[in-house]
Amino acid sequence: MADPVSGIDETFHAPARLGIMTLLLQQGSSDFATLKRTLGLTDGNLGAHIRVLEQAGYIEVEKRFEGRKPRTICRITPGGRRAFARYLDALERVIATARR
Amino acid sequence: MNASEVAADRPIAPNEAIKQIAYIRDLLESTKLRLATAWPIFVMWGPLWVLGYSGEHWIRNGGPRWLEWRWAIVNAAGFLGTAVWVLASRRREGRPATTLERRIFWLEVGLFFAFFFGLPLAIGGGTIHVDFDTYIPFYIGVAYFVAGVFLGRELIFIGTWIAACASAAAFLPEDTRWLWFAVNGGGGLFVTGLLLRRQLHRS
Repeated sequence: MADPVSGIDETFHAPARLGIMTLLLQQGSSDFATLKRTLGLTDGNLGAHIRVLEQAGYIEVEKRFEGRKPRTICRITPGGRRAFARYLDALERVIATARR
Repeated sequence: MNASEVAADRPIAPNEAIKQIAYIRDLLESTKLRLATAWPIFVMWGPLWVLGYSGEHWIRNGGPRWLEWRWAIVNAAGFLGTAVWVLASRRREGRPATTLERRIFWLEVGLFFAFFFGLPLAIGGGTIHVDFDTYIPFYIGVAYFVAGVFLGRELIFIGTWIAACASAAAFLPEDTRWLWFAVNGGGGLFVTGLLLRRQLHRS
């Protein structure tokens, strides 16, 4: 039997990072302001969590100007997509094992 | 905080895993409310469909001449209303389109060309006779369905409903067909708008 705990990547465990990955998996990309509003985080808090995910290679961040307005766009990477899918599988395995 | 500090695996309790899954589910549910904000579009298109299709029935039974212009009026009002709503909501939200939204847009563009150019060319070399009275509503139903796969089940329901009504209409006598589309198509769109509005107000 597979170890239900393997695949629980701590990177995704914090609710904020779990939320960021969920939204990016669903939407493909999202801007900083939308993530902040949807997840109810402060600028600093969201920025810190985005950096963690970016350093892990799970998301990529693009900064650009639209007119005079700075815009930060976050995108999930193929590696991030795979890692998050593994994480979700692992969560389901933990729950399934506990139910047996 | 950096990636190396958090990337190590650690055991997780089942109730913690359940909480994580519940959080993801709640978050996905909350994003579906974005579709519900589009309720005015459906409430607007419902009566426009009723006007367009019942107008055909009316004109065949001695209705006024101006009704011959009804589709120009309906389409102008519908597309103008939709454009105003889209621009207002973009200004209100102040966010760029997501990758998903851009993909849905291009998918819908592809679907339009497939229905009105690709299919006729593939099937009959561009010369097939298409019953546009039912083909256009059928296409609209499919377009709603495809968007619904990504945006929410309400669009899947109304898309399936309209496509089914269009398919059934092909077997109806012409004088019944128009009222059938007015009641089922227009009514379906209007009810969808009301359901989305209720969903939004409940949240």
